[in-house]
Amino acid sequence: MEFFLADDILQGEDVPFYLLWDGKNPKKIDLEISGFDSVKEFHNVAEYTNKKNRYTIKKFHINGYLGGLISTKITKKPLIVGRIRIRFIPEDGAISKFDESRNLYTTSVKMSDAPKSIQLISEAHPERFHLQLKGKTTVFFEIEELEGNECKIDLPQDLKELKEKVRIDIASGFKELEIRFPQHRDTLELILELENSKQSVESLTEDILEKIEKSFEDQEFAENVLMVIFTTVTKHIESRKSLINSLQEYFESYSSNKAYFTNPLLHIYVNKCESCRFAIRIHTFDLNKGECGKPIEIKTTVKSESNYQSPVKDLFTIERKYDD
Amino acid sequence: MTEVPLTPKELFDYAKSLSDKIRSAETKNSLRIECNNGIGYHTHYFKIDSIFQKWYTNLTKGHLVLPSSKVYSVKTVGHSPFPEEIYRNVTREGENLIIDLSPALKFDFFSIEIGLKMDSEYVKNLVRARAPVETFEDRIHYHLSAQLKSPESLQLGFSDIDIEEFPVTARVHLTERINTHVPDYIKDLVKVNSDMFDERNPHRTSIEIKELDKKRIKLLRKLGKATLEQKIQELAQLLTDAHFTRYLNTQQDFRLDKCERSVELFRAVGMFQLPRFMNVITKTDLNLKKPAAKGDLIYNSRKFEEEVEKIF
Repeated sequence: MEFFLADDILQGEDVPFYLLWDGKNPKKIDLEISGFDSVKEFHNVAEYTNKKNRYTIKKFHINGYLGGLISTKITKKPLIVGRIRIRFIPEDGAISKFDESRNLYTTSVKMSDAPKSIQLISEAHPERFHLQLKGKTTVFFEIEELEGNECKIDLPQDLKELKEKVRIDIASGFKELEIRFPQHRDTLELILELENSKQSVESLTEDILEKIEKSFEDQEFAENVLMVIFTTVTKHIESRKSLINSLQEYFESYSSNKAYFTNPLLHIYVNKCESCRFAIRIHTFDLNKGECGKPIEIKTTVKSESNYQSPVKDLFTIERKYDD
Repeated sequence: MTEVPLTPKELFDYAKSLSDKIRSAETKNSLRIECNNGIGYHTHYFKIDSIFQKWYTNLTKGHLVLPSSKVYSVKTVGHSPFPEEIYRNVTREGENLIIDLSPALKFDFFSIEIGLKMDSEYVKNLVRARAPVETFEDRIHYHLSAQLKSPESLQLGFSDIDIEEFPVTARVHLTERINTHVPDYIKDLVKVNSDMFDERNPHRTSIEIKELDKKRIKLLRKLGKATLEQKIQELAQLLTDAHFTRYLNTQQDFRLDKCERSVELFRAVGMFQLPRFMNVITKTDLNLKKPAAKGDLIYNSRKFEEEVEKIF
């Protein structure tokens, strides 16, 4: 017999399992799960009953196979254990048992010691926001501005202008494509909706390319879309600058211990001798784009004695605890 | 021949219509899906007995007529008493393909294999496959699996099913390993270079610019004779399909097929971007006798890290 239960599981993921056997199908199979959410799909099952996550399978379609998919949910705990117990009961002969457990991982985020107000000084940051991670999974931080935020949070001016030029040219190129490829109008509209003014050229391009990948079966259309992007990019971006920008974004996105900022080039700007309200929300996502816990809100006042600018991510320190 | 993909219902109708068209006392019906090119080969086996003979003589001119749309290939093979492929027995007449079966009559047992373009979504939906999005217990092994979702629906139409080269993609993450093994002076150099782009900070004084330039020159010394571009180019060389597969191998039911950088399309539009992950494509086979498969993808990350370090 061959039993398989997937591992390296993020909370919120679906987990496949299967059992293969030689010879006759059994009289029944009892299957019990705990820690997991429920059995979302059975494969090759003709009839089964379920009582509070205790399943009894009595009828199969083909011989020698039971498969399925178990669902899980994102919890507040960085580590929970899912367990599956199977009893294979043949018409005659000995019962076979399988009992397997899997760790289900996520990361919880907490902010400790949020300062009431912060004095910003260039080069050094004496006071910072301290994010505490618990758990083993890779996480991405996304920064959202809250209503009432008075500090300017944006891309550096040069990147922003560049991005705007690129966006306008791509949009006008796409308008022409809409006429030539009316059947792909929806895809093109969808791509243009990706507009997020605080996104870098690299991540805008990445989003566009991801969207058009789905229309790639129409080669001619795809080639035309790529051509629009290619001519726009080469028109506006000097290759050395493009290389430096993209390397910087790449190196800076990584902060520590599998924690990344999705928009690392986002800057905070505070004018000399000004005091302003800093109000943001930080969302944390896992690799499946599942949101880990509730977002963290920061509402504080920042001051600076000089004209201050710094990547937003540098206002944070990140510490991770791997164990419970 | 046209290549409009076939939906599952059409596939079953097709198989059924073929069985209905040809009467034989003993037939077998199989489907082999080649995932690499998205073609399903539907093979019908015939034993030539009195029933078949009777059916055949009733046919006009001994021909089998099939609608030509969606058919990719037709192959007639005699199996016994001696194996032989029959050539040039297919002709096209308008919307139809005419298959001449008379050369097959000298065999006791023969088969017709018809290749049909399959709907790619349909093939994907036959299987539940998984590769972990990241690894925890053991950072080198990626446990892969694939299993048939509903073998019974396939069995309704065919006595035998083979799904060949079903692709399962594992994402191997690169950012952390690249970031922790590219030395800090390279990252500083990138930062200084980017800070020096004039427009970035409107408040900057000429003294600050001079300071930045000094810092840059100091960092460049660590680089030796090579330029930053050359070093990054060397790093990108490690991430080509041909090179990166050297860090990988597979075990059990899965075979390594190829690697694709997450930023392949950036190159297509003329932008440089270091990939955040590598899509590693593995292949496995499934059939009714082995409806599920498992295996490992092993990533020798230590070797990759060493080679990144060696560049700088």
